[in-house]
Amino acid sequence: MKCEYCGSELLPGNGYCPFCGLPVSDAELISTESAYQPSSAPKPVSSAPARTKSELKVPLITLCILIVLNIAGAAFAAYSWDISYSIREWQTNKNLAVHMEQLQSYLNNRDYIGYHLYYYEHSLYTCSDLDDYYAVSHTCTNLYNVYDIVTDFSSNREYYFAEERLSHTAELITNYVNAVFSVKQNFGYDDVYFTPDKTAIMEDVRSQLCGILVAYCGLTREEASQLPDFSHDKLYEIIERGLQRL
Amino acid sequence: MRSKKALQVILWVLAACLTASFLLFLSVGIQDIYWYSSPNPSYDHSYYEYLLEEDDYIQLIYTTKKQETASDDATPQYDEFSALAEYYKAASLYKAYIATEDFESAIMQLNIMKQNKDKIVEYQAYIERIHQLLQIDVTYPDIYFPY
Repeated sequence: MKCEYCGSELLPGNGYCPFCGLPVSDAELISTESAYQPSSAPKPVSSAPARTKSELKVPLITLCILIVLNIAGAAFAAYSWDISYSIREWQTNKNLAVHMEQLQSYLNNRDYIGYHLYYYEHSLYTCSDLDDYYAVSHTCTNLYNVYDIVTDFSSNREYYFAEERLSHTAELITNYVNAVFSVKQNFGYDDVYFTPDKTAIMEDVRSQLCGILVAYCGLTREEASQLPDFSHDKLYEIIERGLQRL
Repeated sequence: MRSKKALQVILWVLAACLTASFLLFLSVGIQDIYWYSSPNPSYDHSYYEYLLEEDDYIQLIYTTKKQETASDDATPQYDEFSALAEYYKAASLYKAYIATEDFESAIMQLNIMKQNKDKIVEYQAYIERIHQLLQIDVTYPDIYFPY
């Protein structure tokens, strides 16, 4: 680089010409300095992409972590039911002796509705040790379903006995009654469900059901006594006729 | 340079959305687990009164049983509601057994009714209401039958 006034050679970094003493222009100074910069020094222009990369690095890493967390979160939400089922199973097994005692007390008192409510409220269906009671529980549940509907007749008569809904009410009751009477057909594959004591319990549930149907569904005692022999269609016919009598 | 800045903003917005969805997943999962593994609702006595006003005794039976499951520290009022629920259940079965002329079972239910009647103090009026609803006439036996 030369001085623009005297033409002498300038050294890099000189603010003034060493020969004429006049100042070297800023433009010349910058171009001179940049021309002689050592290669190890940071270069302003070439460092810009590096800074951009480091600026994007943080959100990109955060994004990756969040994607992984979201996959884990979705899996957690999807399996939450299984997790809670396992927790309930564990809770049930922990108090198994108490539950069995309580269930037996309901059965001794012939409180099959109480039995059903206790069985479901404590999720005892999760307990494999109570599998033997599955048919009994199934019978009690269907008794409860019938009881639930028919005892509601007195307070919601308009709802159940409306012309367009009566057949639906009869159908609903028929399905539950049929489930009580066909328990042997549905669960007969396993003798453990039908030991003499459990069979006696289920017989008693049926007699309670017959009483409920006579008292609340308009069936006669004769009709109720023949219920076990009836097919689903015949049951429906009898129950619908009974409801029409009310 | 400006496009890089925009990209950065987009990435942060995306991160915010992913954070929100993660929290949503987490809350759904925790809620499910809480609901299924420990459904311990606590019912206010005004809810029971509402059920009695509505003649919804089936719901009363269900709710008292649920409450019994949830907590062991029963209040005197809860005891009364529970007794009313049991009374209704026994009375409805009493009617069923009378209908089939199974008098032994009917008396057993009558005993349960009497036992629960003695626990009902403040809500005595509802006993009569239960009789009306079920259309039963009740005379309690003097002797308790073992069951």
